[in-house]
Amino acid sequence: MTDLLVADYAGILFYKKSNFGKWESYYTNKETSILEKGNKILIITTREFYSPFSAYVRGIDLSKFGQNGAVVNEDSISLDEIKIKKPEFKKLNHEFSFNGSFLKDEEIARLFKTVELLYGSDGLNFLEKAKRVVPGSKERISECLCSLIGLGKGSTPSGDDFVSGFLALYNSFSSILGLERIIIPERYLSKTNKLGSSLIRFYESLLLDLESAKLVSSLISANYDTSLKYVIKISRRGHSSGLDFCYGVICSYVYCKELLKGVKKTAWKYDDV
Amino acid sequence: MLTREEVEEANRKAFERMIECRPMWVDVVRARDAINLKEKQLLHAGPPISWERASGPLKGAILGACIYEGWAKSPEDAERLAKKGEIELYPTHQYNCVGPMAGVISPSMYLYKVEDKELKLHAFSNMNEGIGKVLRYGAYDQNVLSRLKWLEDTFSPVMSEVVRILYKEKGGLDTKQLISQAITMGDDCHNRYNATTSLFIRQIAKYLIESTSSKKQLYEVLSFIENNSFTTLNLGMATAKCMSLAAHDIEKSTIVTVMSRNGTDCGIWVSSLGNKWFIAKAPVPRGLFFPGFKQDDANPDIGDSAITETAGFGGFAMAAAPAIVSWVGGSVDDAIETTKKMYEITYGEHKYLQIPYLNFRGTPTGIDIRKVLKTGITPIINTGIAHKDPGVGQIGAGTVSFPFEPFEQAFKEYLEKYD
Repeated sequence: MTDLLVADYAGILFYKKSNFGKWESYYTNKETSILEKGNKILIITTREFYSPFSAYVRGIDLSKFGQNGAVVNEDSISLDEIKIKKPEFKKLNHEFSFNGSFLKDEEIARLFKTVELLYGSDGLNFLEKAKRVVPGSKERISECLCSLIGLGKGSTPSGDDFVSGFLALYNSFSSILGLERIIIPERYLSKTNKLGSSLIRFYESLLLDLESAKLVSSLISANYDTSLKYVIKISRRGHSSGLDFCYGVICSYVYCKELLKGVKKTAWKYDDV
Repeated sequence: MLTREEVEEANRKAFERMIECRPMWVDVVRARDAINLKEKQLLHAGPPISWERASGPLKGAILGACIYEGWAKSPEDAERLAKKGEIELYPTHQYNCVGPMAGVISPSMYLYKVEDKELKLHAFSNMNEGIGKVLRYGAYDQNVLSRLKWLEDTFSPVMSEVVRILYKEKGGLDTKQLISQAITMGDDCHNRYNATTSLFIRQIAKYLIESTSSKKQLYEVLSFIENNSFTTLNLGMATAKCMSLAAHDIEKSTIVTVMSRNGTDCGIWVSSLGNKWFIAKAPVPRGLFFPGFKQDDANPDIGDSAITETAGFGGFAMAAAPAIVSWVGGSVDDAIETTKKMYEITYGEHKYLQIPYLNFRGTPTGIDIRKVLKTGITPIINTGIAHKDPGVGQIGAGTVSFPFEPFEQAFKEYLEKYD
């Protein structure tokens, strides 16, 4: 029997057999509602533009649900008489345009600094691990990204968020410039849970939520103010999911800048700018 | 290059200074003497603003202050002066002052002086007039002006003598201790000062008797306090300003040290960014209204009183004040939730201001702009509600969420400063 369902805007379903009676004390805001029926609880996040992978209830650790979660394929989720329609999930890469210019180094450094300053202390462990990745050839990048899959905590582990962000930006650039996209081989996805692997597959194929799409498109069009605005917006997702994702996007941006301008300078060196 | 550890250390220092600051009420002094306020100069709450952009209640308070000072004989006269630009307007915070609602302070008005001797900090606030038709809510009829005159001629001189005796005997009145005790007795110390004012009378009673005041004066003063639970609001605000000043100007700190509104705009200061205002449109509060008034009558939020939330009480201590919901609306559960939410955007818990209902957990203190950005949660403020037209006064009380934009602007400035 399903005791708990957590559904977000785009219809992610978590379930676990357990007693969650104590959850009543957790507070919600206008973006989240909790419905109870007997011993079943349905948590719905209705925030517009939210990532389909950002089901989040403040104060509740959803990390243990990752393995049991799945992206719901049905058009709606039902719990007795409660029925929530799954919103349309659009492919948004048509919005991107690249005019050949990039953000300045100091602007990129500020984006990195924003992510670092907004991290909770827990997230810093992953940041350190991620920094060990050194961009190189495309093959080497794929290898490094694969090494991060499944790393960290969360319903989507930090590594998955980072990789998703990296691929969202890199593959967007690739689609504009007609380059080959990076696709994570199936065997590496077994290192993470179902939600994490779905997340990577969605972003790698440029199925982006609106906020992520805005971040990617603002970077590609070298708009610093909008990029910063969306880094801040996305940073609110999950415990550190949003920040991990943004970190991946910015690192990918640096990698693409180097690749396209023929400059060799690792993303991590931007810490020193 | 700025490191996260340096920011943490700066914030720790700002937080420690804020909670360890020991504000004492030490004097009552006229604004012209305390801060050198000159003829035709007025202070007002919130970020800088011109007469043209001022809201109804602020305009009303400016008109009233001009008549009170004798610069104009009628509201029409006063308006002509203001329109011609003959009245200079300055934000209170620029002078280490705070004033509730319109926060208008004129040279003849008496101010409470609060200081931390060790940190060499001082802050001021004006005398509270009560609720309803009062200058700070934009009213300026004869009753309002007569009360201001009484505050100047009777209340303030009595308080001035009391505090001088108090100062001689024990270096002043420890206002942090007063607030700390009142919070355990059901005050939030922004919109509820019932316990604080009762404790205040206990603290000053023997000095009132010791003073040279006549029986008539004492009777009038005590009757005024009896009917005005908000007597100590302004003293509480000066205390909060002193605490916030202690946390101000700490290099690299991301702690907020001023949150204020002028009825048109609202703005913040951040410790490491000096006295620069980060501004957005002031939101309209929601709450409970006096009979005959409704939400549509409400002016956007106004006043320096959000300095209490800045220092870790007021709306942040709502869980300590369940009875406040009968004044500002909502439920007791809402009040508790408000405090719990504020822990998510603050640096730490106050060591001396504790909430019995939360097992004596310290109040959430030290708003960190980074946490506001990361959570999307903005500070919740308990506030009075002024009518949008000049001359009407207070029409209710409620709560309001500070807008997100000033925190975002401040963070952007911070990134550029420490590039």
